[in-house]
Amino acid sequence: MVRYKSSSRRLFEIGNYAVLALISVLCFFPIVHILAISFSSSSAATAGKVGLWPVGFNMKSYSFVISQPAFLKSLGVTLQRLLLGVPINMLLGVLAAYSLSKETKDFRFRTVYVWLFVLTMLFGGGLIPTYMIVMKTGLLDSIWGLVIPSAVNVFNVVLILNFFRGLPKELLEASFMDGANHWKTLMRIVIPVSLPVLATVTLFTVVFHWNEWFSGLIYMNSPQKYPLQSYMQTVIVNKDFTRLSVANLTLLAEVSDRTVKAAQIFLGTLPILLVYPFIQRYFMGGIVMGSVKE
Amino acid sequence: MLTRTKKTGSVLLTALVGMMVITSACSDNKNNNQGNAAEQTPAAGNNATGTNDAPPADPMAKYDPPIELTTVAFEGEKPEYPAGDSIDNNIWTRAYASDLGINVKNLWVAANTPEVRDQKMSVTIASGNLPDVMHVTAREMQMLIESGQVEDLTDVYDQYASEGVKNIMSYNGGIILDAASYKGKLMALPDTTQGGGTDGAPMIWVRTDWLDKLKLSPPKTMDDVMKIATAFTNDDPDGNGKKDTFGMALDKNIYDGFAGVQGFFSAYHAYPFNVNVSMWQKDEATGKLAYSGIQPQVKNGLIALNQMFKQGLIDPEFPVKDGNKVAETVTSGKVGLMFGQFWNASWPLNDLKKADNKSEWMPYPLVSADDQPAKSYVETPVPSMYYVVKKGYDHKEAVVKMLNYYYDKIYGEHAESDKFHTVTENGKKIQVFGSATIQTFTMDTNVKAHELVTEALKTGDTSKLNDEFLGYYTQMKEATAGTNLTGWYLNPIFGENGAYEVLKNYNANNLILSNEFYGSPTPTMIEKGAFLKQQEIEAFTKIIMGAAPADDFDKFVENWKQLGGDKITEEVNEWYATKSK
Amino acid sequence: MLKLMKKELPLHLMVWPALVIVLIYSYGPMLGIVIAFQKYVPAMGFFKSKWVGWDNFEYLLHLPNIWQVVGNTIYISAMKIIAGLIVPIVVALLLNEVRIHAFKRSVQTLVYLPHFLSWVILGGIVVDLLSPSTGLVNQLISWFGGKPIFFVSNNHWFPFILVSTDIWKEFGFSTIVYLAALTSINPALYEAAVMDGANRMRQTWHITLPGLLPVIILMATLSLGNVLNAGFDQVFNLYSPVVYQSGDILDTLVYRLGLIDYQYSVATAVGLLKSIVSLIFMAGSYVLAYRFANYRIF
Repeated sequence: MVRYKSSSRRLFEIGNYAVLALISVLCFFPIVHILAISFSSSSAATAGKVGLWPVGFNMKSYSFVISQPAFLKSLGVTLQRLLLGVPINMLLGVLAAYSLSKETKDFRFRTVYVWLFVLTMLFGGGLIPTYMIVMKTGLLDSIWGLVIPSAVNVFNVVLILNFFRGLPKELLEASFMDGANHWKTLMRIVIPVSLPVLATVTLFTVVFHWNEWFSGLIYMNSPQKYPLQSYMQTVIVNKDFTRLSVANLTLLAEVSDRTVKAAQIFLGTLPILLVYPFIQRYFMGGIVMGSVKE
Repeated sequence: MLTRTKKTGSVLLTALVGMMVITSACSDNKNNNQGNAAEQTPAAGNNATGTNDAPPADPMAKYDPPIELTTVAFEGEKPEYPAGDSIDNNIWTRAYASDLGINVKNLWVAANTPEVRDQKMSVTIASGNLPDVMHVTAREMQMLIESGQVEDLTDVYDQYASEGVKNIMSYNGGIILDAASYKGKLMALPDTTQGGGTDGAPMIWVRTDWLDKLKLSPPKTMDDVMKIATAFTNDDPDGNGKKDTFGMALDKNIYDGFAGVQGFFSAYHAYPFNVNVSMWQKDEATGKLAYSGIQPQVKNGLIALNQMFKQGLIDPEFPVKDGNKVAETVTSGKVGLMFGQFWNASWPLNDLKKADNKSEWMPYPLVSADDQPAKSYVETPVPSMYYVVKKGYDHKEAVVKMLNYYYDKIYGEHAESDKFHTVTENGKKIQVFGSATIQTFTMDTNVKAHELVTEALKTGDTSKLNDEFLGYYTQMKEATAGTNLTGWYLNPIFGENGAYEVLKNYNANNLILSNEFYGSPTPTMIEKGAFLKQQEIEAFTKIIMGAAPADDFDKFVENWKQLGGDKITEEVNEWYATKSK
Repeated sequence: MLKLMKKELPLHLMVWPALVIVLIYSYGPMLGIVIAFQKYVPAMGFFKSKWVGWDNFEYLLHLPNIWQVVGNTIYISAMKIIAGLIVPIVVALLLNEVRIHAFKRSVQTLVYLPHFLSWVILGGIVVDLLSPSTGLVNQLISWFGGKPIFFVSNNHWFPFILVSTDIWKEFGFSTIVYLAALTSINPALYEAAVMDGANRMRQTWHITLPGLLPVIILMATLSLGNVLNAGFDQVFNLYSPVVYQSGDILDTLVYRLGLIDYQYSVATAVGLLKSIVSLIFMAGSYVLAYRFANYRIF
């Protein structure tokens, strides 16, 4: 876009790259630290000797985590949750955001609706009443209990509606002129030109469903039905340790708490890291709107 | 028995996840055998309890037709079961069905994480779907009793409890049963696996290879402790030429089962403790109960801690380090003395041993700052967990029968611990006692382990050892020989001069001071207790760090009394008056 | 009128699926707020628990130190809100200047990473980093001839540590939102600006920032909803009695007082108060924007 480069511009760019690189290093460092711990020997890890490089390199923690059938099982539950939850979240969110993005003169109730949604960001009933509702609606001990109660994320809806409002008016008017109704306009015009925000919100939704662990622990009636992150929470076990056990303490000698935890944290983050680049393609500026203009 | 605070508990136990891969080859044969053997046991059980002064009911009579009993269960991350078993179907559920005619059913099973357990229980209680039998905390028990949702067990306990069970429950003058009673009625069965003994009494752990290196002897007085701590700080015990070691480990909770200072305060005959205004001692002058945290002796302890802090004997960063972080300084060989409980050897000291096999630690009894002997104190003389029966359940005696059954199978004269406690399958030991719905624990098991194992190590005669103790024996031998260090921690715990010898001597010489208050929290305690405790920790931390003068202690005491402390004292003494009658 | 209704019907239909979910699973549990006015015991339920009127609120207001704690909460959360707005915008703008796609993408991914780590983990790392004896930061300070500072137990520094580490963990999240917003700025505007001879600085000031403004206002308004949430997990994992004076916030106070575990009613009362204050702030900014700029934030 910009062809000429003054020397001050050059200086800025060098500085810019340096600053961004520094920021990235700062943000990257904790996960490297965790990765290093996960590959270290337990004694080095418990003594706090591990910095950014493994001490006493081994992969025991990983083989331990992966060797457990429960790990793969809970990964399966999480994938199921993502497959059900993300499309539902996106569908409900986009539909609601589209109507709410209309101006008051076109949709008189929009402001009332918007505030009905926004209020839920501020007020909550707490654990016990929420549990009762989930129980009364028959979602306990079911995958739907992890999907339906959180099917609407108001933050995301507001974000999408804000972007929808920013779309050029002419675009929508042209569509209506062609005789399209709201549904068609949404599908054929609005969604295709809003891919950056939809990608963003999809990412947030995937991350939410991936990370959320509490409802799994509370709503499910057996550990076999826990999603991955709920299962991982249980790594911090308060095991019945009322008697010294030879068997247990042999295990203690082999895998320390910290290395396993580190391995689990890393494995729990990895899939998101892999998904991210795919979603990122849609953030590349200018492309979408440029095509709209023509 | 290993008891510890919840926080440190989760630290260690995280690692205790089972690595055992159980081959899924299910052997029908084996299950049948177990069934047969189990059917033969009731007779043995009856004999064992036959000497009772004629209990009017058979303590383990079988229900015919069988009854159903619902409960809820918490399961560790990697629970171990023999092949084919699960939390819903295991040696205990089968034995309950075949021997007692009780079909146990889990309404739900949840992971046993400390963060979630309480919430899962409160939503269950709030939703009104209570199971027939529940394993609850003291607070939950109190709430259920007050809202009239649990059965009175007085009669069924009297009628059905076997002699062995009554023996356990009468420990320490019967305060365990007191704690489960409400207005003179027994409303729950105490779970003695969850505290209630004196095993948690503090002691001094010292790194003995450092003592040897610096030519010091084990502590006999508080001056010795100071001398050792000073030498460990200044005389380069790790020999790296740097002044990077500390004399005494301390974590930010100040009171803790590891790196706490309860044992330290004992030297000054002061007995402060952390959880909400919970530690009460008898004031000999008035005969009334007084709050331990405001006694003038506490100030002496604080002054001593402040001196240690000033001299650099305590890590100046202690206010931000929790048990895990402090454990790091121990396992990296930076500290050589701490006050703690018997299990400190298994964690974190065993980790240090793995990293540095020259390191050696031993526990020593508490020492005094003057000529009066130091007393160890036990804050929780009663268990923290209880079994309750839902109001309206038709067979409330079933829980007593199950308790009798557990005692019989684990501790009875004809115990079958190789079947009901720890099963050996394909050469691997699998603990199965945890599957029992109702459990109990005799307070002297660990002391017995110490005595028998120490003797066997001297004589080489292992005939008196059961499977469990034989395991300790083998590991301790291997660790001493240096062939396998994984069981190193067993020596300082069960071996000669080990932690159980210290505890045994405490008990024999009457050196244990028990918390005099074990009732449920009083109204003002619930309302103001946490706040008062916060003031206390804040004031103490500041005095230790020198951020406030020691005289601030007097100010704290004044405030404490005014802001609800006096009221609490009153209420506690009302409770005490009803108890001492 | 009827025609209008008919015209709006599809729009209603589009909102309703989401609204039904919200009505059931968000408004349903809100009935539970009644326990703020009860002495709620789970075993008794909502109907049998005792009604106590404003007792729970009075209990709160009479806690010693309560106003200091409220002050800390507002101070810390206000700084977090402001810094949490500025940093992501700046980073997004800087990223926007980057022409090497691989670099841009890598930075985007990396800055989002700390978001995935819980404060239990990060808290330990922060304490290590800031340790006066072994921490990297203090080693740097010493290297430059300064005196080591015990940041996490210094009342002067503690709030700043909270704010800066919070930004460190979370700015990547908002940065993504702004990056997405940047894509919707019409490139034609830049082209026109270049024609007019505007340099990058002026383009950023006159085109990019105004283009981002709606999103900036939206994010600012939404973050006002957190005006009394100064971040429980973070404070809980970093503070100590020495810094209660500067770092104790409403949520940690409530937690320490044992209110979360057993006193559901007081905890709910705190939650209700927080919600109402947030509502006032959010509604206020919404109304202001509408009155003076004729702009609806959402």
